[in-house]
Amino acid sequence: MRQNGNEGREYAVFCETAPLVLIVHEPRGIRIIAVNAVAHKAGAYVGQALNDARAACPDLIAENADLEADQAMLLRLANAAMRYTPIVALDGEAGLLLDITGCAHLFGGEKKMLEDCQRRLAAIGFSITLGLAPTPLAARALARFGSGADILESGATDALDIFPVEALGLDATRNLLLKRLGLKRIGDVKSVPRAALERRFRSKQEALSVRLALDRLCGDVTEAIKAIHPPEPYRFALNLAEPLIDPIGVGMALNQLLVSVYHRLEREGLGARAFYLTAFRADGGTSTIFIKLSEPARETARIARLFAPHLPQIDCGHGVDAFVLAARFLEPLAATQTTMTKDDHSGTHFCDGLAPLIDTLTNRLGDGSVFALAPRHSHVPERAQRRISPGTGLAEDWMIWAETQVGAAPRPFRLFERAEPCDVMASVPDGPPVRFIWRRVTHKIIRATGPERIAPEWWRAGSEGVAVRDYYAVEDDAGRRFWLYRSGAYDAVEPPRWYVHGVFA
Amino acid sequence: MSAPTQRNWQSSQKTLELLRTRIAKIESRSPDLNLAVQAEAWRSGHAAMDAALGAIGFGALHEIMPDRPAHLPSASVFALGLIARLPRRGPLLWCMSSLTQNEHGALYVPGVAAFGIDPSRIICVTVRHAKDLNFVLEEAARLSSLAAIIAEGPLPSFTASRRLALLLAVSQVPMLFLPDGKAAQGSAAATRLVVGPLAAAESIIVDPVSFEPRSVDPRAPGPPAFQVSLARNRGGRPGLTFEMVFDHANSSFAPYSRASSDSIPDREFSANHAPKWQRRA
Repeated sequence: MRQNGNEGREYAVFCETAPLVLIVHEPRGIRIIAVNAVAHKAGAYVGQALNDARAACPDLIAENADLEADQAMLLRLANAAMRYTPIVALDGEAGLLLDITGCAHLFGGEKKMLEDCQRRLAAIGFSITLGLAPTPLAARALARFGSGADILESGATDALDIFPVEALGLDATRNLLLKRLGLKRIGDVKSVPRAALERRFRSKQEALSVRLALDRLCGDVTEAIKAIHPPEPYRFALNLAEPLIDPIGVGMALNQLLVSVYHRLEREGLGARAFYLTAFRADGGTSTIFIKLSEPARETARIARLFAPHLPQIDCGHGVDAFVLAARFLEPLAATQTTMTKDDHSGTHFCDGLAPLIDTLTNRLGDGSVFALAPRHSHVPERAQRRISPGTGLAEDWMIWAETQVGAAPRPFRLFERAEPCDVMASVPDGPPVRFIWRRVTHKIIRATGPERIAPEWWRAGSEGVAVRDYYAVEDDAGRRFWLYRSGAYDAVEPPRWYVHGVFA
Repeated sequence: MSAPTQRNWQSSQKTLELLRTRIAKIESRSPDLNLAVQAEAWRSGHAAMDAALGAIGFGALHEIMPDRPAHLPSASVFALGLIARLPRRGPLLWCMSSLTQNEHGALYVPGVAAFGIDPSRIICVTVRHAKDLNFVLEEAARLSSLAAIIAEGPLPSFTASRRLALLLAVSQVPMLFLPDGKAAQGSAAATRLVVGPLAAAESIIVDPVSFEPRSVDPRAPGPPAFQVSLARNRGGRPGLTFEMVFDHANSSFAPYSRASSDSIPDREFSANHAPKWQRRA
């Protein structure tokens, strides 16, 4: 399962006919980490030093291995394998573990599923070996040491007795020790009494690890596999008979999936706040698009409408043959009254509300572009409001806030995210400004009130060294009104600085 | 004609609305937004301008053009004043481009609250590209449950503004557009008001109840004052210029007077009886 950066048909054919190895540079020399069939026949093997292999096979071609690209490719394959099951894990550098419990029947049985897997990966140029067994370790053993497409029925783990001890997945030192003890096959290890085995190892732990591997192999100890994506409880798959190339078909597939999602969510009284649509291409690639909602929803029309502008992002390539729609962030959603004449999941009744608009805008403009403003009890002006997602009831918060503001000094209605520095001339050092230059324009101040002194919030981290601000509301001769502040005092070491923080008019 | 009491949040109307929202929250549905009251006409409260402009149309596009690019904040305060007088309930969509935010500051809600606008009604949209602005406005213009749409950014093309005007006419939502200083071009707007700031020198606000001149601290910045010209007025007479201040206490626009000795204006007068000094053509 190695692929290098150089691609192209000729190179691929060449790689199949010439003895090729992939190498890594290690402190103790150049070592082979992968061989192709021709090189293997010529005597090269994984773990060998390149010089030794060259001695056996002089015309060996060595290429540097790109381990990162290998890992990325493995991850891509893992994503593509999500078509079979939601639980896919990486196994070492060149293996995938799939938990297909309850999934095989969707593909016509276990045998058909393995065939499908074999066919797909072979079609895109991979040679793979498969194994299907009741436990992860047994499946791994079958894939690595079996014939390549073995299926082990549950309870038939005795069939693994003829496999070499390497199939237990232990480290090299333990494998070596077992071999020295004459235990070459799994069956041999099984037959040794536990106490007898313990005496042979240096520590009890080492012996235990062998026993544990045996138990894992036979299913006496359950082994969890670490899925690359946590399994989605609300996940709906659609396998297509023919690969889909037309983008219009994507919309139709989506609608079909949305109807199944709708029925499930409605039955359970749930709505989801995010939907992820993944398309599985025949060439092993995947593409995912998603939408987010401001409130839980399940109406097909509403969700489809949000997906519509993103559908062209699905790369159909040489054809998409499976779709998966996952619903996330589920929240209770009660049934709502709809018109009696319409289909109950058409969702048209909903389009009068504000939520669909917010969703449409958020999905187009990105997170954080559509927001409502909530009060925060802080006297520091820029902290007095915070952005929240719209649709949450704020009326009460603001009413409570308004009660605290009785008699407070006026606030501008536009505030700069960062106060802008300006040059100020004041008649007396501590007095209100007389004129100020801001953005290269001189403003002559005819009226001013202030100062309103606002101290930093000393109880918050990071407030040390923040100067006290003196705010002035000023009006220039053109009638424009600004909110200026002076940071620092005149008698301090550093001269005070002036800023324009907001605009009244 | 009673002065609007939107400033008083704890009025019974408000409590009712709050209860409705709370019930909607319990029933996990979006609050019923289609209860926007439209019985009243939308007027600025400045009698002379209202006489020339008539009621501000709901389902229409209105441009509020700053007289100079730097005066966009002034134009947006004027828009805020109009919104404060809008007799519609429901959310306000405030759409800013990131350019106007950097140039003139982002919306700061504690200041908005001073206009008697409930801050919880405001939904902000930040747009990075001009083409996104058009998308946002067209999507929003379809939604009849919005109280109003306020947009800041480059003026849309004639075709785009015509599309917006048609959508707004169906949904009956008013849109106030604040162009960020681009040259005026063909537009399907019903009105175009060119707004500039005025020094609040010597401004006196007249209390509508007691008819007493209510003086303000002469050294402090006064309430926002504007010079407003009707550059375009579909179905009315364009070309007039008015000067006005926004009176926070009554959340209404009021005549602007330079001299404190000016007569107390009558709130009920019509355009024909308007004093000469208020009509600056």
